[in-house]
Amino acid sequence: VRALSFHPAILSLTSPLTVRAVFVRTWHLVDASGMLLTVTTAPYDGPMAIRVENWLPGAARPGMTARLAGRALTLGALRLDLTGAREWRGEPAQVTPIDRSALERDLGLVAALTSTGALPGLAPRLEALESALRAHDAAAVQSAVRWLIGLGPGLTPAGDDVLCGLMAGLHVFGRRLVVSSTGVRADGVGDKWQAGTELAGDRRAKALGYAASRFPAGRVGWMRDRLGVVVLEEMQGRTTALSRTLLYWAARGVAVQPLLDVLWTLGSGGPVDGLETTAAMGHTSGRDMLAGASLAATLAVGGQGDASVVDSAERLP
Amino acid sequence: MRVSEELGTLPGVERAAAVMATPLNLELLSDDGLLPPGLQATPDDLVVTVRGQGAAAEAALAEIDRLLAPRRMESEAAPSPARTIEEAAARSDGNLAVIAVPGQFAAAEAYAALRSGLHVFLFSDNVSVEDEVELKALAATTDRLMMGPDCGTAIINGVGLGFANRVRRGPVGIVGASGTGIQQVTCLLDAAGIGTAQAIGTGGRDLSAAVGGAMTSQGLQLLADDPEVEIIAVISKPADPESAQDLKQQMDALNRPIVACLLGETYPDSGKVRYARTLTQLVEIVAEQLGRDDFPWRQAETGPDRNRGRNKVVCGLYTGGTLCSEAGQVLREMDVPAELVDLGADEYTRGRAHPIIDPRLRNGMLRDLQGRDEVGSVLLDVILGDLAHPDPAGALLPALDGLSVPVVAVLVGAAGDPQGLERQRAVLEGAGVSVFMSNSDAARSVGALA
Repeated sequence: VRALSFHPAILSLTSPLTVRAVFVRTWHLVDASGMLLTVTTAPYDGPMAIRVENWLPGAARPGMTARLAGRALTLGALRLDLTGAREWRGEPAQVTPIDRSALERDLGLVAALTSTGALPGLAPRLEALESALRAHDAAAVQSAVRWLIGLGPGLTPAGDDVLCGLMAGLHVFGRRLVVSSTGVRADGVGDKWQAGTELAGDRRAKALGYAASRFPAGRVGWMRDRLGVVVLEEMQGRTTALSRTLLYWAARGVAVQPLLDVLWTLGSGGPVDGLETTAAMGHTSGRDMLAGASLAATLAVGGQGDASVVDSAERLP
Repeated sequence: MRVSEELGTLPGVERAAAVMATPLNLELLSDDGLLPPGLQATPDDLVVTVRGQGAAAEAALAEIDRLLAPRRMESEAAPSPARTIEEAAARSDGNLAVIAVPGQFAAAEAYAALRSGLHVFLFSDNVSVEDEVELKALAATTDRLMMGPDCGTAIINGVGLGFANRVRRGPVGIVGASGTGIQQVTCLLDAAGIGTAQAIGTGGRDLSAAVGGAMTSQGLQLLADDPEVEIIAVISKPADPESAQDLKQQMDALNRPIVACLLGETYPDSGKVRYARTLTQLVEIVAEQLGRDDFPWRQAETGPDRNRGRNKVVCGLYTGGTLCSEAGQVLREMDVPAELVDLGADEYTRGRAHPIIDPRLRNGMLRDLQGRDEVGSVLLDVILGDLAHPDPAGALLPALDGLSVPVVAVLVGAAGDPQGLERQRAVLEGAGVSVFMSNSDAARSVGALA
């Protein structure tokens, strides 16, 4: 069987893998480190996932072992071939600046779809995290995260979904702020970048892409990196293998493609891509991720916080 | 979450939870008294816990395997929704695609639909005129209807598309380069007891120089060939003179009873073709030709009694383009100064819903009128029917608060519309608005206030 696409990071998983769960359209396999590989018929890519077109009823059972070697996943009699499959890395085709008035309008659309009111206790915990991030209070961020990880029903508890949306959002908005002139000036790198705005066409796109990857994202960078470090530390032993895997990648700015589509197109002045697909994920997972994404947008362009905090040198474990 | 919810509905169950055994979730279960003592679990274990009356709780727990079992049969039976027009066309017996997507993507979907052999109703606006010309040429070669872009209304075999009113079926075939124009005509016909066989929308630009009336011509021919159609009505916003001339020649050649209203132009009647200056006059001519002379809009409709100040302007805020053009024509003929805005035009609908659906833009503009002394009266349209706002009259009220000048509205709706024609009229009249069924009568009433 040929795969359609896959996240190349799966090639670093250590064999053998064990089948942890078998659902109608998805298999979960874990490696010795607890990182989880998903084989799925979902119509979109995501972290540590292999996408296939047709389902293979009965080929996997919980407890079976699988090997990942030579660009193929072998599971019993099944060989899932990755040769020729598209490699997905969750990178945007282009980095779009943020139009603040469009963003405000788009966040109204997102608000209509989010669901933090559904789970008692989620909203106040999220508010605590928001205040801690705004205040650049590292200790308060840590305790707020501890009160969110593993909270709520589902294979990815609601608290984790919100954190995924928030972390991926801070990554994307950090990069987009760098190419939005107001954000750039706020972060003190305006002069370096200014030349890029005077270019046109492909050269402009290249300059913006370079700026986005090269320059720091100021206070957004602090929030993104502090949150990432804390979440990776706190998640050990506190949530499910699927959640740990998604949080690990969200801390690096990689999330399911529809959520990334939302993040890259929110406030771009054009349509918001991926919104309905994200909102329809799981029972409430997609809507919880959108709540996190919305918070990330608010934090990134809110303009509040300590302007003296320029960037973070923190590196994720 | 689904399992928790379903367990909670079983008889005798007080509380139920099915959650992954993360420390936070276990803590919450413990706070709720739902955590059995001595439970050993890791975050990757699922805890299902039920509190209830003895046997009922046991019975609920026995249901867990069933509730957790993959719903394979169910999910395999229900196919995933089609992701492209081609896929939907291949799966369905339907032969018409309704397309309502943001303008920049609309042409691509329309090409796909035509190439899949479907007729197209293209509601979206902000489509380039080059695409419109090409789409209509493609439709003509494959004998399909290409209604639109910017096609607000159509009624095909009794089914309303876009903004359409629930009117009776009958002998009149309509082709119109105008959505609200079709709505006004079908609603007045309905009020006169006359039904509509087909109403083919063409899109507001069809009779422009670039498009040359391609769809109007095709629609006219289809109606002429339709045995259900006894009389044809042709409606257009102001048309390009050359396109209008071509249309006139085609109508003459068809030798069928036709009544046409090409706003802004008058032609002498010729053969079986008669020309009306307003949409209301068109309906009255059609009705007379069908032997009817009962026109409810001529009765009991009086204009406002307050005077519009001399030399003051009529401000018209319209959601329908044709109604706006028609009011402009009437007021020009009366030599009354007027500022009329068509809020359904492309520049007002980019990035937001059409004002027939979303009243906020017009309400904001109405509030802005309060401080303007030069405005002597306000003219509005209130459009009912499917897809329109569920209570357009009610939505308008807050914006009318504080307006001291006379307000006149044309209420476009049919007795069968979901908003309730009489209820909407009562709401407007209750707020002091003078309500008309005929747009030209409403405009004339405002014009006569001077």
